Amino acid sequence: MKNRKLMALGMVAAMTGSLAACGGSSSSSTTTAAATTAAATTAAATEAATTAAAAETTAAAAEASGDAEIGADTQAIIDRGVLRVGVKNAVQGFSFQDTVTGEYEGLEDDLARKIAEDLGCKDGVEFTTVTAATRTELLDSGDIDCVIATFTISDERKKSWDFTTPYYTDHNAVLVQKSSGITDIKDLISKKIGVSSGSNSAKALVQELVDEGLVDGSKFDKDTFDPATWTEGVTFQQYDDYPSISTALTAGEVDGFTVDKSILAIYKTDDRDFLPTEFAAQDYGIATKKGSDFSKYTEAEVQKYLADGTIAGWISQYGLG
Amino acid sequence: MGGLFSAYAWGMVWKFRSTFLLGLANTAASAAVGIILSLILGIIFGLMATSEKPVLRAIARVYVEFIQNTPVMLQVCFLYYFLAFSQHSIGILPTGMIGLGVYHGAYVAEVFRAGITAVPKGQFEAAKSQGFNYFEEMYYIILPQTVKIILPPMVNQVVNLIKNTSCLYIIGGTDLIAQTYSFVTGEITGGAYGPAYFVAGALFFVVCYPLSRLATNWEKRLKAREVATVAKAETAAV
Repeated sequence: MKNRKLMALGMVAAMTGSLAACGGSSSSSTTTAAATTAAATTAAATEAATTAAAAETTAAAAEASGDAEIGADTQAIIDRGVLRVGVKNAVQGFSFQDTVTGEYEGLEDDLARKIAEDLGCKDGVEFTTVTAATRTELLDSGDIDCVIATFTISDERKKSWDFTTPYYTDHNAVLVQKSSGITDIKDLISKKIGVSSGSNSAKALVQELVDEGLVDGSKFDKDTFDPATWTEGVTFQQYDDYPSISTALTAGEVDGFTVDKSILAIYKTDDRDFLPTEFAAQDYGIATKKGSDFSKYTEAEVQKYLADGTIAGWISQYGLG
Repeated sequence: MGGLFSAYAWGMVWKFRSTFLLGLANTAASAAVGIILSLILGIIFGLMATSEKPVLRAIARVYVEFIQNTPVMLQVCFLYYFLAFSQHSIGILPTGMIGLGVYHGAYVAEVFRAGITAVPKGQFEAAKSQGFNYFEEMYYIILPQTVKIILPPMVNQVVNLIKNTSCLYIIGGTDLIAQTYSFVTGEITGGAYGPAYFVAGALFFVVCYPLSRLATNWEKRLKAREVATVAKAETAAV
């Protein structure tokens, strides 16, 4: 009898829980592929592991990163022995996760592994899949040390996070259904465009339309622009992830899909076309916590690998040139 | 940066207040239509569930069980993509209104059924003995007694429906939660988590709390009136 009562109580609790869960459902998918150490990092990692003394590791790391000094934030990563990096999981060439093996492959993943190697992290890199919407939250909360996820450097973002020198420059493009009859950027007028929450694509498109004289720019203010409330010329629908926008495009909920071309390339199917206009250079940098000494370290790393041609090598290896 | 006490972040929220107000307006609109739809469905299926005809009871049962035992998110998603891919898309907000209305309709139907069942059997027999037909019986005798029984759970449903507008987020909704989420991740506005989530919560609270209070007071008034009526009737009888 008593057991039954308890069970009923438990069921009520579970039901209440599920109802509550329904209310606040921001399903940010953060699949943590724990310590996906790549073969590439093993050499230095093993070395670091054998010379377990922290001081020596630090010395090696400092040496590897040139003249950058090791501060408290960077030391904490070294002591932890694993570098936690937020990356995308479906951007071919930049960061793509093999669904079978769980391995991440691409320029950004290689860059992360290089940094972990130089730091002397014995467990390499722990990748966390991020979206345009979740990457900064995870960075601010301290769940990840840096974001290497096709993250475009902008003045607004620099107020909140530190960025390195760009390691890659991309452009925005617009993808449309061939059947829609849209063939030029001017056909987008009075259409609804799908964008990702947290991306700057909407602002870049409006800027382009204003520059082309297709939209009256008097209401356009770079500092207060919000895709949600913008109604001049084009309207925007914001989605949490790219697949949702792609689905919405197929379903005709949106007439165009704009984001960085490297990302759009994933969704380019036979029945879709890029509009000829490309706009708004997107400089990708590594983002770190504002004011963290790890920012200086990553900056030195990017500088180093730009200078010695490593990054150029990856760009040609992954066909991003 | 995004701390609750960051003046910069609060300034951002203020500067982009129209985004939050738009979200609130969309939430209010979808909730309002959703509530009306759920009431209509609730009354119809509630009455069917208490009907003497097994077929009607069975239909009501299927509706209630099917809706109550699948997640509202799934229902909204299904409705949205089903319509969209059959080229009959009605847009995100209308989809949300229908989805939420149908979902909460099932709960409201159960509330009605419970309310009607709670009215003593003698009342039904008395109504019949006086020659009332089914609709007169319900309208004049049963439902007025049902109202005060079901008021608290009904308001619960209304408040839940308002909060469940956040499910629209999954289909790219423009409700308050979706707008808040886009805001805290936005290129310009990103990082102002604390104040943004706080403001969204506060907005939900100022809508839902008065509703709860209103219902409590209304229920008290109805109960007080009943006591007064019964007392009067007893005095008259003596």
